[in-house]
Amino acid sequence: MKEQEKIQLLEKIDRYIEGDLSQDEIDDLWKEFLKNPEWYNWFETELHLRSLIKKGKKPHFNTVEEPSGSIHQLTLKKYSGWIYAAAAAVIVAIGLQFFSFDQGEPLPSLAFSEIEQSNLIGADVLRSDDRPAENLDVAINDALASAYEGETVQAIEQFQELLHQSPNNQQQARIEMNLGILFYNSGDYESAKTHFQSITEIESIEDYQKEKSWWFLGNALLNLDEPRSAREAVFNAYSMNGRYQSAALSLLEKLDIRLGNIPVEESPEQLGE
Amino acid sequence: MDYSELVYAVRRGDMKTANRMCAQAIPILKKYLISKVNATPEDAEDAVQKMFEYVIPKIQNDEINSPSGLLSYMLSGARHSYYKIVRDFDLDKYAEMEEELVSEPDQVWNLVSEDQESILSSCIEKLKGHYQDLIAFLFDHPNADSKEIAEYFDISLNNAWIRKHRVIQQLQECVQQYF
Repeated sequence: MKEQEKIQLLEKIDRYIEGDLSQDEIDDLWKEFLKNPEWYNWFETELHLRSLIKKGKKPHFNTVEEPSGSIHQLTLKKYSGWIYAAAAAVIVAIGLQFFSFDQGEPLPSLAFSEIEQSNLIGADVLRSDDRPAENLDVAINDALASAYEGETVQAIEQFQELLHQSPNNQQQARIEMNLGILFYNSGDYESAKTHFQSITEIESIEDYQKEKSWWFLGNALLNLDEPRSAREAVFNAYSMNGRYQSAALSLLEKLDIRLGNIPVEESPEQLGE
Repeated sequence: MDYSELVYAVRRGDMKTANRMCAQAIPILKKYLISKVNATPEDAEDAVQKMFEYVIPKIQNDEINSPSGLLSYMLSGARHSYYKIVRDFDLDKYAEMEEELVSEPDQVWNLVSEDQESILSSCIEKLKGHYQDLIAFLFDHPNADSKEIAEYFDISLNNAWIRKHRVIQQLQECVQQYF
C-alpha cells in the first residue's frame, strides 16, 4: 500500500470517527475493512487513541514503571548492563498479523514496519561474578545509549567502529543485532540483512539469539522483495521452536501460497476446522 | 482478503476454505453491526451467523457473482438478519426499517473497550522520540487536526499524516501482542 493510499485511508477513518461520513461512505469503508482486516485494526487503534484523548487519560511518559524490555534513558546513561541483559531475555513477539493480507499486497507489507527498541541489546557491565566490565562492553552500552536517545546515525557509527575492535562472539552478536535493528528501522534493509545474516553464522551463541536473527532477517528480506530467501530465513526461525514460532508459521503459510508451494485451497487451516 | 476465493470455494464445495474465510470476516462484521445499528455483541454474533447461513446458498445458486457484490450482500445481509432478530419484521419492509435504524455518529464509540484502552495506554507509554512528542501534543490539543500537527512540528501536511500513520501502526503492533 502506497503512502498516499494510507493517507487517504487515515483521512477517511478520521472523518468516520468525527461522524462526517455518509451512510454509503461508511459501508464502503467497512467493505475495505473486510478486504483488508489490517486496516480495521488501524481504525480500532485510532478510535481507542481518540477515546483516551477524549477522556483526558494522559500517558505518563516519565513516571511510569517500564516493563523489563524497555529502559529509561537516564538509566541507560549509567550503563546498567544487567537491565540490558534482561531486555535481551524479553523477546517480544512482533508482527503477529499476517493473516490479513491478500495475495495482491506487495511483499514488504507482510513484514513488520518497525522492530521495537526493546529488542536492542546491551552488554553485561555488572556481572554476577563481580568481574570488571571490559572496555568493549562499556562501549557497546555507550552506543546503545545513543540509540535510545534517538541519535541513530551516531549509534550506528559507534557500533560499526566496535565491530573493528575484535569483539568476542557474544559481543559481536550483540553489536550486529543492534546494527541490524537500527538499519531496519531506518529503512536500510540491505544493511539490516547483512548484519542479521552475520549473526546466524556466529558460533556458540544462544539459540534465542539465532532464532531472533533468522526472524528479523526474514522480515528484512521481505522488504527487499526476496521471497524465497525470506521463506528460508522464516523457516529457520520457525524450526527453532522458540518465541517466534507461531508468528513464523503464519508467515510461512502466506509465503507458501505466494510462492505456489501449496495451492490456496490447501493452505493449512487457521480457523473453521 | 480476496472474496472471489470465497465464492470459488463455496461453488466447488470446499467448505474448509470457505469456513476459514468466513471466520476471518466474522469479527469485522460483528463490529460493523455494533457500530452501525447499535447491536449488542450477542445479537451481532447471531445475526452474522444467520447471514452466512443465508448467503452461502445464494453463492451456491449463482445468485452472487462478483466479490464486490458479495461484500455488499454481506453487509446488508448482516443488517437484515439483525433486524429479523430484534423485531419480527417483514423483510419486504426492509427499506422502511433502514430509515429508522441508520447509523448515528456516536455509535462508533460502541467499539471502544476498556481493556483495549488500558493496553493501548501501556503501549503509548512505551513510545519514544518524535512518536512520543506527537502523542503528547495530541493529548494537549485534543481537537488538533493534521494541519495543526504539521504547523506545530514544522513538517509538511503529508508528513504529518505519515507520522500519524506510523505511530498508529506502531501502537497497533504493540496492542496486537496482548491478544
